[in-house]
Amino acid sequence: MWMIRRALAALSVAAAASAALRAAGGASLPRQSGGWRPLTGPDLT
Amino acid sequence: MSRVAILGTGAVGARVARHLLAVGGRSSFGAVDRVVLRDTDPERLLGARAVLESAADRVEVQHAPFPGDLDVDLVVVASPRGTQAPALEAALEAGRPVVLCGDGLAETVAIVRLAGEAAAARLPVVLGAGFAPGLSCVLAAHAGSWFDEVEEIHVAKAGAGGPACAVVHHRALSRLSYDWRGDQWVRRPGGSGRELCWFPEPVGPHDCFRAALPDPVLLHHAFPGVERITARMAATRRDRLTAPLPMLSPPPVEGGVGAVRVEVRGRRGDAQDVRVLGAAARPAVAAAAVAATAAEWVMADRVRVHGMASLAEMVEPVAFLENMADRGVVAEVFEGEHAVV
Repeated sequence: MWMIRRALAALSVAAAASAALRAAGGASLPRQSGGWRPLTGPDLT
Repeated sequence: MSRVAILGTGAVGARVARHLLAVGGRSSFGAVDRVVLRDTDPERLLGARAVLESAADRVEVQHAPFPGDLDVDLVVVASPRGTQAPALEAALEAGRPVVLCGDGLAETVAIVRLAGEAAAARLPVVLGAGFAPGLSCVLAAHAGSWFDEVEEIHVAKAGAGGPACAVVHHRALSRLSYDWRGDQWVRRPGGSGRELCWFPEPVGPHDCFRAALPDPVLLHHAFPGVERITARMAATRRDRLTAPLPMLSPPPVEGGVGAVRVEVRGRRGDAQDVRVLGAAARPAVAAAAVAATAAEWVMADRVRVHGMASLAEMVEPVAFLENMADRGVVAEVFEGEHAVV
């Protein structure tokens, strides 16, 4: 019984921590290089 | 005198009519003389007619029950899911070329079963002439031309057009997806296989998931030697959670800006390489531009296949993409430092 309680407590703490991290997560990392450009030229390259 | 029938006057059909009736632009082979609009919903017909007010004398409206004969040069099928296969059968029976704008997997498979009849009649039937499939197929064909050997094609799309398209998207996430892998179809649950895809701006990055999409079926026919073909669509957690349920709220009349992204991998010389092409536009607007351009190509006899095929096989990609750019849908390429995003 003691083991089960301890496991449930650990799971609860892990879930709470992950939820807090997820909720407090900042904006996604902006792209560091590359990007989209229109296809140009006679062969659209 | 050229006449085109447009079955379905929703977000796509009405715009196809407007494109076909317009004159000008180097993409236009010449405006269509007359457009016949068919729809079962009188309100939609009135709305489409209002949009086409400037060319009202060249628009004919037909409400159900429809006349038996179809005295036109080409039929564009932009009607909701479940109605496209019967419409194609009727058009083939009447001996008319057809452009289909469907994006449902089950209906596409049902339509493919009529390929023999289209080939026997030597009638061009353009399958999947929309945003995705449609523009995605042309982008795949164009990207494929960079390679000596294409090994993988991965399609992703974000956004939906009109209400009928939104319903198809909603259901697609709860149905089985079909990916081509090696030499067989692999069935996977819709909503699985999360992958972050970076679409052209302003859409940007979205998590994309497997779904019951017809792109792999069409692309496998066009590229039978390619080892892996997959298709994903952008979805939120709520989309995936509610996919098995009926739509909780009515779909919007028109979706926002969407995008398609096609990643092609293969061998070029001695090196492995990857090309990522895409386009961003409101899906119904882009689908209408694709369907209208495909219709013009069929009427000008510029298509490569006189039978049923997707746009990947039907058209010369560079010229088609130039025509699309004339209509405001510009294809883009992702350039990175070989960083695939």
